[in-house]
Amino acid sequence: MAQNKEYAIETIGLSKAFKDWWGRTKVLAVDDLELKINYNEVYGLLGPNGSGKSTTIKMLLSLLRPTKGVSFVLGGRSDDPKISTRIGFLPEESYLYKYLSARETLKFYGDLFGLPSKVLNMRIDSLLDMVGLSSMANRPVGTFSKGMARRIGLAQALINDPDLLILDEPTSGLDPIGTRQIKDLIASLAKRGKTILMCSHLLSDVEDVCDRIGILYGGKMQTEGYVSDLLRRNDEQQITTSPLSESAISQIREIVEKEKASISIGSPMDSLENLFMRIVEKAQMQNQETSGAVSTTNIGNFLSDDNSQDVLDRLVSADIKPIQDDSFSSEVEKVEPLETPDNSLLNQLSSKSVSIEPVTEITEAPDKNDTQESSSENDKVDTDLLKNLMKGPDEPEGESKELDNG
Amino acid sequence: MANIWTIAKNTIAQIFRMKIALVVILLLAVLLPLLSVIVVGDGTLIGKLQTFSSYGMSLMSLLLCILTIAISCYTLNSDFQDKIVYTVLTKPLLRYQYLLGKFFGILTVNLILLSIFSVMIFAFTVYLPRFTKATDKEIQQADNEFFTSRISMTSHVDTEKIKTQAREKLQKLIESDAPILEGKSRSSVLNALIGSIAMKEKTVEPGAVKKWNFKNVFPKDSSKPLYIRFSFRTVSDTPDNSVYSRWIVGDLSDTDSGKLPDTPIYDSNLRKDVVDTVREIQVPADTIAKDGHLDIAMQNMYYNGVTVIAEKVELLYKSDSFAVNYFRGVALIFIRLIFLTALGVSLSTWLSFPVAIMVCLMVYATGSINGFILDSFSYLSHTAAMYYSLIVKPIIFILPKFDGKYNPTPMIVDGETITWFFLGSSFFFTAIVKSCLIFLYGMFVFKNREIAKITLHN
Repeated sequence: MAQNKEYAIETIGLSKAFKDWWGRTKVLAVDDLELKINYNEVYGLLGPNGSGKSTTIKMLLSLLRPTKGVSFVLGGRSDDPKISTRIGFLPEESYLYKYLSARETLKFYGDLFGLPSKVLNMRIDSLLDMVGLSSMANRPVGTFSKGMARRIGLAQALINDPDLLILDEPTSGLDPIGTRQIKDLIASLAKRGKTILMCSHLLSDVEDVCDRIGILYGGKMQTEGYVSDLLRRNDEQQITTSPLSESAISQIREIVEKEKASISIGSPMDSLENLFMRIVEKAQMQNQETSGAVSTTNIGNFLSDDNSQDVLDRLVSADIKPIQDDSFSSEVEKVEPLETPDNSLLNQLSSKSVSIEPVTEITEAPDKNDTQESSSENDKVDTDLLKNLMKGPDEPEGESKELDNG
Repeated sequence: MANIWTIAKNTIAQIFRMKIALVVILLLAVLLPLLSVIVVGDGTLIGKLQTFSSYGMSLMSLLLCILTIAISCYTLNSDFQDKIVYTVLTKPLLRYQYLLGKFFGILTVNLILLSIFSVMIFAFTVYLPRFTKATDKEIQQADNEFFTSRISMTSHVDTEKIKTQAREKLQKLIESDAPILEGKSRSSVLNALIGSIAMKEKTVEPGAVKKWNFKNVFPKDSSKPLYIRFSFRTVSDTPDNSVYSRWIVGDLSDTDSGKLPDTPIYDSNLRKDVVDTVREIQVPADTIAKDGHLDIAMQNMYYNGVTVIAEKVELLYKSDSFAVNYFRGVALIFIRLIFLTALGVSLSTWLSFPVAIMVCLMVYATGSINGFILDSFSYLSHTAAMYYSLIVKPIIFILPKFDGKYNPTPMIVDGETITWFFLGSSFFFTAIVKSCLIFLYGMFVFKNREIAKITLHN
């Protein structure tokens, strides 16, 4: 069966039946799944327990053999061992050798990729710093808390600077700081041209970071689409303002009532996640001691590379496809790198996940993609130029992001 | 190759953190020095040396075999149980590389431990005479019979001749319609007759002389003496539990015609030996004929008044040093460990830890009594020829041989040479052919199995 190289991940009629000792099919964990994930997309696979998320991932990683159907990853068959050099995988729990220290663990996995020791040591330092475990680098992983083990699990998934990152329940067992860090990291990696498939049942996590989601139930895809499209409520509008006087509020009420529309006015509430983050950040500013992981905002340099970060950031955050096909146009546009995180956007996304009072004014919230449209257009010129400058004469266009790996 | 070594290094780290490994290391580190102090043997220096080396090597071999079985079955299973394979096998690592990494990791540990403890035993053995009060004679005896490496030859027994004689006797019994045949199968009577004739070949009546012939006796160093090793049994008790005998050694082929040989003849004169005890007679090497022929004649003195059974008369001559022979003995133990590692890793690809370890222990046990099993099944070959050759024979072939001449301990204890040829052939058949077959089967299973497989119950 020929694969379509347009997609980072593609499954065709993928099915998996679990059988009993007598070979009788007992559970159809995945049923005729047609999954298509574009390059440079953050895709969230959602579903309740036992819906087939992990089974799908395991088939993509050749840990399970499909009963029927076929899957392609990064332009090759998923059972091709060469493909695994470009994949990073974080399983649902951090399955690590307990007797190895954090540094030894990363060294072990890095060695399997045949990385030169200089590069590997640099990456290990960078990743340990990124996941906030530098001070515990020589402690055996077996003594780590679940959250700390999760962090080292994530670091091992990134040791090869993968093009495709498969994350199974990435935030499970993590504290809110870790959760936020992982979400920030996913966003940063996506900006740098990585494709990410994450599966989770923590809806707020998926909502915050994913471009597109698919909801599985009973091994079948129930619905699939862009997060913004699926969540937008077209029957209501939202306006956000700074504090208004009583008279102004009355006037707005009158205007809305004239339009014969209903209105609800109140002060927006901050999310618990933001409140928690503020308190912890404050404690860290005061240099209070902790034996746990330390929150950092660093992203491993090698993941983005490197000195000319601005240029390469734009380069790798461009829409990269292995085959330039006119019939294909990605509907996903990446958020361009900012000097400081876009907290307002994050706050808005986060606030959806908690119960809040109706906001003061109602208007249509600006779409994540829409806000970047103009700058994206401008950058696209630079990207194309840079891509042409930096790729070799015979190099396929899809490989241009390899430059990022240094 | 780099990937295999990465897995191997990690396996080594894993093993040295296992409690069973620490227990084995500790036991050997404590027991070997202790043994060197407490063993006394029969009170003589050679007795002490033989007892210590026998216990030491057996203990080392046993504990390392058990450790190998345990770790080879555990390491793969624990990776599956802890689901570490999910992260390891999603890296650019082929499954055969993973298995080979495990195999070589365990083998490296074996090599390290075997080297340490075999050197320890060697050192204790070599230094034992210095810390033991012994007479010069005892020291001389230890040098000649223990700190040496001697080729052992046994007199050729013509089994075909014995079988022919047995068949002729059976035929006579059938013709005379002897009552002894009633209710018995012919094969059982034939076997009994063969046993009886073979036993008769070993017996020496009072006053009679028994002769053994040896061919192709070519010692490297003709200045070093030859040794005749024997032990007596008697059909009834004797005074002092001893037997008087006289031994004549040399080229006796033409003595019947009254012609003396060119080479000297050795005469032991009258000697008294305790029954059921292994004894050695030292004979000059110039008694061997130029064509490598040597005869040994023994007279059971008439005044013993009892028939003597001369068990396994052996001719020994020095061929190598003790150290080289000891090294070959240790190499034989290493071959066992290679086989057991391959077996444990291979079985763990499809069996859970308790089942895999049980099968491994069974194979180890059957390997240790391989000779007995072979004898048992050879009887089966007469009655169930097809079943034997198609099913039993291949299984017996794949079973390892750890007993008899494949067990180096008695060889080292007796100062007998383990030849390079034997070591090489043993390595080829056990460590290469059998281990590879078993390991390839494991690789085939592992390549085709689903790593995250779930089998549902009901």
